[in-house]
Amino acid sequence: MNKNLETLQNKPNNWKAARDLLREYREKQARNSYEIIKYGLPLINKKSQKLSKEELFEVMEQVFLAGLDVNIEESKTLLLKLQKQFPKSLRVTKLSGLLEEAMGNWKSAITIYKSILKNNPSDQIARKRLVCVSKAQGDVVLTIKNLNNYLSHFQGDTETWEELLEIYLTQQCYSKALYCCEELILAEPNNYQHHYKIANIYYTIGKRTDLIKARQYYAHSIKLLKEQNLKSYYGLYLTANKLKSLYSKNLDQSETQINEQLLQFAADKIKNVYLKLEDNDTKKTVLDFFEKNK
Amino acid sequence: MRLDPQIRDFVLFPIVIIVFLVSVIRHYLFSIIPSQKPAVDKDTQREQQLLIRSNRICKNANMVSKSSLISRQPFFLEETNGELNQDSKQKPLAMSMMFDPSMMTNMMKGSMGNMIPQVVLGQLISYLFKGFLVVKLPFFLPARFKTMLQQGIGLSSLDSSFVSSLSWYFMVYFGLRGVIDLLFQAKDAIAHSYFSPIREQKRQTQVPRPAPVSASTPSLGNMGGTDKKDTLRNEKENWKMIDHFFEIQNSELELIGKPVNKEKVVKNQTANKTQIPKKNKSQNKNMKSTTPKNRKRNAKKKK
Amino acid sequence: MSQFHLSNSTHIQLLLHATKYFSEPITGLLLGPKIKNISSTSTIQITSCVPLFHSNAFTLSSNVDLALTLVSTFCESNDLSIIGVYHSSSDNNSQDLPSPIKKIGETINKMTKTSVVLIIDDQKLKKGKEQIAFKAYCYRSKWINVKVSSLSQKNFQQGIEELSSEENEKDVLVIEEEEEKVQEQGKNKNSKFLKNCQFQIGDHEALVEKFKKFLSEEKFRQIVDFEEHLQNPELDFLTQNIN
Repeated sequence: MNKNLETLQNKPNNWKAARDLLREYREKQARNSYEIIKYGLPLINKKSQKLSKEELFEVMEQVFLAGLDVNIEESKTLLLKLQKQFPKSLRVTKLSGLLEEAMGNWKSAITIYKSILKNNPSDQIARKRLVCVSKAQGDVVLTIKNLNNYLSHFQGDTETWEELLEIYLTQQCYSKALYCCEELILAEPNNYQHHYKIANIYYTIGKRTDLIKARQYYAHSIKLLKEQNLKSYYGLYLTANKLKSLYSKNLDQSETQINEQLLQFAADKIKNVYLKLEDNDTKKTVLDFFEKNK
Repeated sequence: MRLDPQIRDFVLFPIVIIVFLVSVIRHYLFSIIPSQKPAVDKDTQREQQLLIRSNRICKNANMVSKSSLISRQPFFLEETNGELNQDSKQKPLAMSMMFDPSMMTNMMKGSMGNMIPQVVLGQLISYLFKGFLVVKLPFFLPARFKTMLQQGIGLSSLDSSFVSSLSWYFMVYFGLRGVIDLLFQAKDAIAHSYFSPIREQKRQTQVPRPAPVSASTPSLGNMGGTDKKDTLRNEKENWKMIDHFFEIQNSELELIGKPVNKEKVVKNQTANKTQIPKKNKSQNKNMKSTTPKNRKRNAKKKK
Repeated sequence: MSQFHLSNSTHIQLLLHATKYFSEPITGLLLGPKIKNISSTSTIQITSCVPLFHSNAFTLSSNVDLALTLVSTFCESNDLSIIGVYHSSSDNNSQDLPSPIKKIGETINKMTKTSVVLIIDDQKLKKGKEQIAFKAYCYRSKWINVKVSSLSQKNFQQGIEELSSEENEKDVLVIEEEEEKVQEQGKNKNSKFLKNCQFQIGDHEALVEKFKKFLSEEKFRQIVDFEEHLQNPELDFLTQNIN
């Protein structure tokens, strides 16, 4: 478990650990709202003098964002404090827009963002929040349209391509999702997660050429991250298995051999991972499964 | 030969301290003066992002299948409507920059802020510590460097690895830059949230390196308006240079220890460079005319 | 005639999974003891759940196939079977039943001849107004809504009522389903629901009390789903030990 989190569970008043934990969360942009509120709120309320001014306001913003998920009353108080400190700040205006979104006041949120864009037409965050509002309202068609609109101006924005990918997946538009995932790979070719995702999509489409591509992408994901990448090994195993059971007649001899070797490689690797663990239900199940399907 | 302790105490160390202090003061001064965000023109932004994406695709084309690459080509390269065949709408930089007050502060900070202290200090040091040698460089330098490094000393026969205080100043200046960055980085250890301007800057990826341009076209970054028009067209060079080979297929072979496929020995892979597609058949007027309706019309026309 | 029971402990585990990942869509499987001959009068109990995903992974068949394979292996060795799937989307979705979930439900139906889909509607979990947060669907050549009611209620649209005095099955109540043809639904007042089929949950008030207690003890941290297991294979996702 996280070192700071452990310290805090034993000594909840350790402000240094709280500060470091919050820094970690800010760095990773993690959304562990329960923890942030639990440890961040006392930090702001009781130990604010221990933090530098700059950091204090960063922490206040972070706790505000966490409060939107977990405790909206706290967020309202924090926003008032921030507005008092920074009366004409663009950043605080964006936060007020977020509060409106969290409370479900879509119209006022949209008004706030549109007024930001009027004065700062190139502001990316306000644009993205408008898309989020349409997504939260459940209007899928409008969200897709807004995302595409955003991307026509900001083609290099990886975050948005990911968002579009997720929406296409929920709507089961797999070929469009594939296009988005390829953009992610072209932007960040060394990120094993993108290769894993695209392999999943190819597997889901499921024709012979797609399964072969899926297998190749799983293998590439493994190549990029050999350890702690259990999901790619599983993916490789499943794809090779599916090819073997569905398309064995359509593969020539060398391809069948490659498939078989990959199947064995993945199975061995997965078994090795589980053999090193303590006994529990999952370990037993996995090893049983591989016994039956030798 | 030994270094006189007086030179060491009254020249070497003071120069180091002076450079260090000036850098620190400059850092704090810069953080006080707020830097303005340059007003980014919407069209410019769009084109910059377009170029970033085009650059990325050309660079990493081997990570996706050939069909994916081909499906992206028409958006960029199609003859009339392709993005890279349009005139660039970026306004010429020089004129608007010079008169834009918000850019002035930035420019001042950027170039002047670095240049002026450096020049002033350099002059000061060469004036104050004039006329004697300070250090011996551990490597040999050809004689040409004498005039530069031995300013104020007229001995032509002296080995050019003995240098004056000015060159010591330059060495310290460049050397301490790294140390100062580290020092101030440690102080900025506070992580920043998604909304902070520092993160926003990091997210907006840098303007891409423009495509290699042949000698005939004038160099980019000039003040002329005509060059800006071709910013997008110059990017086409990158696309012509793509030699696609689907690298991913080799990963699975590597895992099981089989020999990998090399570029030209793979079946169903064309080793040819990427072709810029011609117009689609549907847009091609000739094709249209072979439909029965058009055939009659064309026959009439011929008559 | 099939009757569905949902045990209180499973109910709480579902809600804890939803609480842990409040900002994501969650998916999981419902397990129950194996029934040898599924007849029209059989009682189908749901005694445990296996949380699977807290992302859009449910839309991709590689993840789903893997999960179903492993869970069915587990079921075989423990004399259980997969009864259904539960899901909750993270926003106010216009679709109540997303099509990838329908597909999962249909796959389960092929395996076990009976399946139910539970959709957790988190709008109904607002503080102070704790209502039954489920919509249940059964498969009769297409997915049809099934009434959900609890021990102490007669009409599921009402709020929490007093405890009834039935002591035999405090945990579970069963109402029969008649095998009427689907066309007859049009004549029925509650026409959008499968006739006389009800999906029963346990005593709602006691459940809410227990759930609140668990929330204050932060028990939701102990929930481990399949995705977490893939990140960290030491964690066991097949049995949730929460008391």
